[in-house]
Amino acid sequence: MYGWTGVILRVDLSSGAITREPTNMRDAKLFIGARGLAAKLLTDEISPRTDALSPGNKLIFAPGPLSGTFAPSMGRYDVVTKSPLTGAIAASNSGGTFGPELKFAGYDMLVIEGRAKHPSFLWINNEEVEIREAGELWGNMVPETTEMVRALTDEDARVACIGPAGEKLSLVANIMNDMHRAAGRSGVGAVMGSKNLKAIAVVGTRPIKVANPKAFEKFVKIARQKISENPVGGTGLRVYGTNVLVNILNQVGAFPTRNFKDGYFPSADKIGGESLTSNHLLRPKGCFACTISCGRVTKVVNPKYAGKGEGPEYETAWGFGADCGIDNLDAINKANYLCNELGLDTISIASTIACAMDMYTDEVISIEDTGGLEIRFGDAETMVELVRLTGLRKGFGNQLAEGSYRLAEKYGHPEYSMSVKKQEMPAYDPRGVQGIGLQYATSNRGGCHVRGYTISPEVLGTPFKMDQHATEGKADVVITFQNLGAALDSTGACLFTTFGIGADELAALLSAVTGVHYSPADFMKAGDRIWNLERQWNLKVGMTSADDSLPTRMLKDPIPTGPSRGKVNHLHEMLPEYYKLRGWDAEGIPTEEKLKELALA
Amino acid sequence: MPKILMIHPEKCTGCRNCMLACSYGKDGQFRPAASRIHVYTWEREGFSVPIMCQQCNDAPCTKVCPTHSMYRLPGTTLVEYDSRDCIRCRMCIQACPFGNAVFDSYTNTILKCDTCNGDPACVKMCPTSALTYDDETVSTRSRKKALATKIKDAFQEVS
Amino acid sequence: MMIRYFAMLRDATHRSEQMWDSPVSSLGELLIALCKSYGPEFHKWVVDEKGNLGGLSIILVNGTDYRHLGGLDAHLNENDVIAIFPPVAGG
Repeated sequence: MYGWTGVILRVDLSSGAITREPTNMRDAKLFIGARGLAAKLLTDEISPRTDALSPGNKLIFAPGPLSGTFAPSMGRYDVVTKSPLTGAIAASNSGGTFGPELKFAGYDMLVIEGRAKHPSFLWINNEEVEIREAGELWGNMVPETTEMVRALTDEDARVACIGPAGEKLSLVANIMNDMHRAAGRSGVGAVMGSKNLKAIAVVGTRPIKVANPKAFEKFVKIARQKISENPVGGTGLRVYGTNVLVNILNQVGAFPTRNFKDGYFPSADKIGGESLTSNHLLRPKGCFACTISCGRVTKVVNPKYAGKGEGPEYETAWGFGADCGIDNLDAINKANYLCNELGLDTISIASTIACAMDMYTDEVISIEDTGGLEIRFGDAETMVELVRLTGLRKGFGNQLAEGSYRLAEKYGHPEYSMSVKKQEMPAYDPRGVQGIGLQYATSNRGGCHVRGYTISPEVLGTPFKMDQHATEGKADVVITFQNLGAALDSTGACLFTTFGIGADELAALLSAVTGVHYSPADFMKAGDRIWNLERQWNLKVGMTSADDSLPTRMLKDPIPTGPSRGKVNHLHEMLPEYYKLRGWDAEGIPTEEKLKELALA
Repeated sequence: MPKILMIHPEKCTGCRNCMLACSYGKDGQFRPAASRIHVYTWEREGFSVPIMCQQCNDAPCTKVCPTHSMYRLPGTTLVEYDSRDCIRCRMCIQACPFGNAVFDSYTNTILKCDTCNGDPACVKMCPTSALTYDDETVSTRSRKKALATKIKDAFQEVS
Repeated sequence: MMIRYFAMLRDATHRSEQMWDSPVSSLGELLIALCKSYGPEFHKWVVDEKGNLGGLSIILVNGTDYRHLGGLDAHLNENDVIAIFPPVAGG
């Protein structure tokens, strides 16, 4: 077997049964691996009506066929499950070394089923697999958990775990691996918590084989060269991290500010990548097989927010920064460290706190509701405290732990939640960048930028430049980026490789590793197939075209200040064209013809 | 001129491309467990250090090897390993103070860096030059110079 | 006019912004003047390997990308704010 290991590991926590089965190779060819192949398994095996936090849900850890090789920056994995936040399919992508280690242990996927009677952890040492009682692990933060699991298993084990947030079933809880990398979005940490599974430790010492070594070496060389010669992949991300985007998005007037009340934050420069590099950065860090090194090892010396860890990414600096009206980078770093320790998704919790600040300002909620806390935009200390309270589900944090939609809905005003399909939107204002609005609205996991990163053409001008304020041509580009992203995620590649390479190189690498020939067109079609599979399942869950929308604020309230002043998002000019180009009917349902074309019918 | 493999941990990002290059170069497959170079990452500190055979001048592994399978040719900087006469007694593993000779049960052989015959694969794949293959006499020049620069800066600040 | 510099261009210019008083008729002319004034460390980020001025850098005039304002021919006025980013991205 090449690229794929050919084995799926299944662990039923209810019965304690541990089984191995062959990977379905027909599916592997069609859905590649990681996000795609795991989505196929999940949608085949669980009912769309399954309660996400019930034992009936399954939690799949899936690296891709390129994970574990030295294909550059292609060592990632996905956590696929039914999301308790959105009800839709979740696929949360993470880096570090955990995904490749699962491959080295011999598995294309790890499928967790049922619910353990007692808090437990899983120890995978190649073919030896054990479910053990978590004992004193339960209740611990991510770094302590990671170290304790290693002490109980192997000092070099790769560990994925949940923090207190996942244990307490917060809908914005993530799964952390390698201490600092996150399968962040859609509340996958709550699913792991609902299964009473605190951690997974893996040691793998088996080989991953390559079908066509000569071709593989050649394409790796080409891909590495293209990424390193690209100023973004080769220099910018290592020097400044993703947070270099703060000033760019602010200067084009698409930097959501104070819960998307504005699109421009005058003191943005204080929280950008330039400030982070000057004041906090110790050194860059890379995930497995990475050549880009966007990871930030940072430190805060200010005693009020002192700490050390990784981050923040752009989304995090935006969320705890501009979106909460805060320009204190020390506090933002601290909030990021707390999220990594507690196991919280930085985007969702930051936006939920911003939502609470917005409701407090407008007197939708009062000091009685917040347990005595004044929650105002710009108050960094309270923001940091709210992160801590949320992770522990204490005080008002117990309400924030449900995410912004449920919080705002509880007080009768869901319009304060800046979310799509109940998942919080990230750091690009769809009023200032039209295409990203269409992406948010149509994303299969709700508010999300990485599903179709149109910011590249719309703002950054790579690989070509489109007018950020135009709606023409956006449906087409959103679809292309969504399909490319779906196929790319499924190989194990990092999205940032696209700052250098595209479908041609990815298809060539995938073909060389697996021995299955994928032309660039086959590769893009696999992405289209994965997208439609996810879509079909979301429709079965009960979603309709009405869910392909944006918060009213994005459609009705113009950005009040900055370069995009006066703009709103024109989703309804783009959505019908999007459905049509997707081969879906006017209600957004894939046609029989389309499903046949994709071998999904 | 003899060359040596130098590690520069301050530049290491912990990506393990070196381990992959090594295992692939030696065995044609990816098995980092069989890499002759290992990267250790301290996750709390976010610090990584690559480590491999130091090719000691007075190498304990060569001293204890009963079949002279571990040996150094006079005038070279490389400790060589010849698996043909090796009886797998693993004495070299016991003797190495750095843990840089390893027995691999998967391939039934001793794993030890041989600098890929003077063209180390790990160096070529390191994306940040955290590994370099330098002339022996100039290998520490950059470190000396870095220290000298600090001294210079300190003096300039005072004057 | 006001020029704002970001990312690697701050290292090249040793500043984050400056007032520009000398008259220039177009953005292209301004970039040439800046390359002359700041030398190769500036030049390498705003000229691509094929020698195209502008290259992959992101240049905004009052928040609008110059590529939508007629490119290097974009006319500059004395109250304009020019933001210049080297090619960087994230996500």
